Amino acid sequence: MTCGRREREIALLVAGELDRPAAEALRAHLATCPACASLERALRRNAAALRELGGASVPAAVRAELHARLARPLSSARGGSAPAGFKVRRRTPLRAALAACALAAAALGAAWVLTRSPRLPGKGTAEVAAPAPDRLRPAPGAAPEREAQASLVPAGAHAGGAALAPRRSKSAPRPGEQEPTFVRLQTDDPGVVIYWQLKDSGG
Amino acid sequence: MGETRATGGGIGARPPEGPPPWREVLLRAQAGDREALEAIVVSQEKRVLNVAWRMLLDLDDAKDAAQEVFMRLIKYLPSLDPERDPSAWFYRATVNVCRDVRASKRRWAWLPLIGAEGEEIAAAGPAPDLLERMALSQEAARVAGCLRALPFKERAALVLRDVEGLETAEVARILNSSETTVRSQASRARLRLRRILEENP
Repeated sequence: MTCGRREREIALLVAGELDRPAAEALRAHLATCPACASLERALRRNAAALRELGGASVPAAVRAELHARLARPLSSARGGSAPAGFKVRRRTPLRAALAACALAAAALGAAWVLTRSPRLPGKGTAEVAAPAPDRLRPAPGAAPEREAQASLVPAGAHAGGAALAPRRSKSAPRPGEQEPTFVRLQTDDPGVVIYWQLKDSGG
Repeated sequence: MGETRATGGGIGARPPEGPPPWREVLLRAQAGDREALEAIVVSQEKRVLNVAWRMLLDLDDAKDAAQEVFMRLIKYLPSLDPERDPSAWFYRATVNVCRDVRASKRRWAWLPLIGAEGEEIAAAGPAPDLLERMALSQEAARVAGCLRALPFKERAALVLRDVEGLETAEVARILNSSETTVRSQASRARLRLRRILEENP
């Protein structure tokens, strides 16, 4: 048996995996073979280094990072919150994006609700249209200092029925005339709103 | 060549690990107890991380591997046998995951070269974090760095047998192999490691 063929036995001897007769025979050979003895010493040094490797432990920071990675899978696996000692890694950009989406959805929803809510004057709401000052005519026989000029107009008479203020002529007041004053009167019927135009008769 | 000696013991003969007993905590975890699941993770994380690091010799890869091991734990939790010691399952899962991690890295690596016998001859080099972060001696760091050059099966046998200090029968059970094969793989790994160290003084 050559020394080359002894190598496997030496590797087993170093690991303590040779039975006693084979180990004694090999030790006798090692006592007379410097090359095989050198190999045995090298393998024992390596074995010691490997044992030292086995005694080394991963740093605590690495374990902490593993905790952070496992917090979410563990909590989702059981449907609960993250267990004590496991810190959930926060993903700020993702959370911010989700919050922005939620706010946008809420704003859209609010806008949709507002656009669909009834506005005055709605269907069935009456509107008092005040004639322009230049179209006013004094009633025959009426001589109060202040007289109201108004006509009742059904709500549906206006296109869209969206006018909120009394209609007025777009023509500008004549020179010497004052801008008319209106009074809004809410009647018992919520569907009827009366606007009064107050006109100074000069008295 | 003399006969090899089959050592006794085995995974199933190990005492349960740490309070509370493995059987009880596993049953609770299987019933949906999240704290029990956490207890399992805490009791095994150090072992899994260390084995993964010794197999891969890279802390980042070890973290990835350990995370994957515990993801598999969550996935296969209902199928675990509470009557059996968990160490074999965790060792086996860690080795399998490390093999997958290494295979995925090889797809994109410049190395390895393929030797004449189809064996991998990777470049042996010192791991950057061996000395500083793991506080190993120069000799241990050098040996650990050269472990990377070993073929995966030999490395797994050597790590479990000589680094983790498991018995050959346990290693064979973890690797789903025979004791003779494990013994042969570990011996070849010791001799190959010695050659690599000589070639990389």
